[in-house]
Amino acid sequence: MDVQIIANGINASVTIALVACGFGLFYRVHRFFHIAHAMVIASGAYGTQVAWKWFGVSPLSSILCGIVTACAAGCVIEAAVYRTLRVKGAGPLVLLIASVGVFVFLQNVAALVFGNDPLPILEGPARTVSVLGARVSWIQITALIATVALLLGTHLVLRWTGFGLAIRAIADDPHLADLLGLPAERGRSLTAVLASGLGGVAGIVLALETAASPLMGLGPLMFGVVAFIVGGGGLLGTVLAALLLGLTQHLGAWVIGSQWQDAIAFIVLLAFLLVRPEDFLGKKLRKAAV
Amino acid sequence: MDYLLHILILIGIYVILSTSLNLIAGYTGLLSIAHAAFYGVGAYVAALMALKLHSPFLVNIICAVFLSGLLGAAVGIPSLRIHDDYFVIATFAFQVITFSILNNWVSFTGGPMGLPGIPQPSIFGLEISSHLAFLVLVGIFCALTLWITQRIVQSPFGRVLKAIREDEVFAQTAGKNVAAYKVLVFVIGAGMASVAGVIYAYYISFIDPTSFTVMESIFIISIVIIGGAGSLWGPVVGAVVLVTLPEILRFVGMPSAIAANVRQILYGGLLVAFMMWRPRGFLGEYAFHSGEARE
Repeated sequence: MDVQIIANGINASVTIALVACGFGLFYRVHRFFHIAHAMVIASGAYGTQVAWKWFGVSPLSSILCGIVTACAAGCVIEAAVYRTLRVKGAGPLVLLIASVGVFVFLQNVAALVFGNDPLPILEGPARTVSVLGARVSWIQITALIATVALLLGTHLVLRWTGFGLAIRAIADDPHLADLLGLPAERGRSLTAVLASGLGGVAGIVLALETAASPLMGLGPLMFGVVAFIVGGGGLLGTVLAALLLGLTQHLGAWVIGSQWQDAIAFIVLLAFLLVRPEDFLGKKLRKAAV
Repeated sequence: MDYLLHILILIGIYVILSTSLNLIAGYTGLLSIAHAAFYGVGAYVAALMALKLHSPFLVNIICAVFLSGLLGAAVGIPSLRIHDDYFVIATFAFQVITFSILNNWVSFTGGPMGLPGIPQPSIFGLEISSHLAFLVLVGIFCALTLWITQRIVQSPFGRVLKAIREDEVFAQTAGKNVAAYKVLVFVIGAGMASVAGVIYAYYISFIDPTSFTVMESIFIISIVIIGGAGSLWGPVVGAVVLVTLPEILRFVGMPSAIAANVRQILYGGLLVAFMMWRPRGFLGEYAFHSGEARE
């Protein structure tokens, strides 16, 4: 086995972990699949692209612009669409369908504005260094460090701050949180902002490594969903599942060819859903329970 | 004139697709985004048999229905153990895997290059080559699909499907074999969808995997939702609206380079708007509520 394959697998799992943790945080509070998160990921990439290429902002500030764009995109989607539906008492399937609608809508708006073709941010391949015999680029190393820091930060915020406590309370029992007078609506908005920030960083990393495109977020989002479900919902489980998924994909690609990466990820998902289909919160499935 | 016929044929194909999905999603409440996979399996089975075995149209359609039905059973089985949004993701997985096989098994399916040169079908010696002949063919299968669907949903079988949609545990308590019903409705829906695939393959005479993507599945479910889930004529209305709406854009002189994107913006926006103000669509009786929302 090649060290390079493991390095590539770990690199793939970095973006998967970021997307999965953002998506998972959102799911735990909002209780539906936020498919439009794929466009939040892309908005991070496009935000960086516009600041860097169109306005000539410095790279570091451009990345900051990208993160802010993603946070804003997530916050606006939440406020404009999801909150309206939530007020009307919409169930998770209605919210899921609306989210798919938002995704299709925004993806094509992005295609109209930026074109369907991928737009690279960096010209030429990034400089690489050798780590234990594997070639890795400085972007990949930075992304790995930044991801570890961000996820650790997210964990600390959720675990030790009042905001984190409130979010976990809303996630555990929204009705009880309401009864206790927790600012549930603000908690939900802030969760959307935090989740979108993580997604935006993933988008920026992807755009720096390859290019920004309207559909760039869908693949990573789907892998993120797989990692989230396989990982069982917790932050650590999600990260481990992302690592497992990234490595499986690259090992599988090495054995049977890289074109099968998508299929591998979803076969892993189906296997997990069929073997271990419980709700990750440990709750029994609603319809199966009387 | 051919243009008008072409639009009508497309509407017909989407009526078959959305009516069959309506059985699964609208009547039984199993929201599935794997429908383009059944559609694709139908198209590929027919195309491969016509090209490699030179077998006749009716034989191909039977094989396509059979194989697609098998895939339908495979997609239906997870619905016994997982529900609601998790089930949607499971069907999504089947959709991605099927697309992946169509796209990557190059030696068998032709991969991204697709399968060109599918011959014109003939039924009992009758050549079907003109647009009009295809329209008649589509019309017959549309009518058949709607008739079968109507028979199903008005039968005791159909009432059980609706019972499963409204309250699965209750259906089970009433002694109904919920598992068998769910798998069976998937087999029926997948079989019907494959017929649309067969007709599409023969009509266009060239197929490639890009016609059977996730986005296509989302388009078909949009037709069902906007038209009205759980109503016989809902998907028909949905298909007419969603297929002709982008054609209107063509008449107002929108350049074709952006027309594809504007078309998707339109139905993405419609999907959100309907969820907000009319979740049951134009004619529907089912609004994808879940058990929680009604408690």
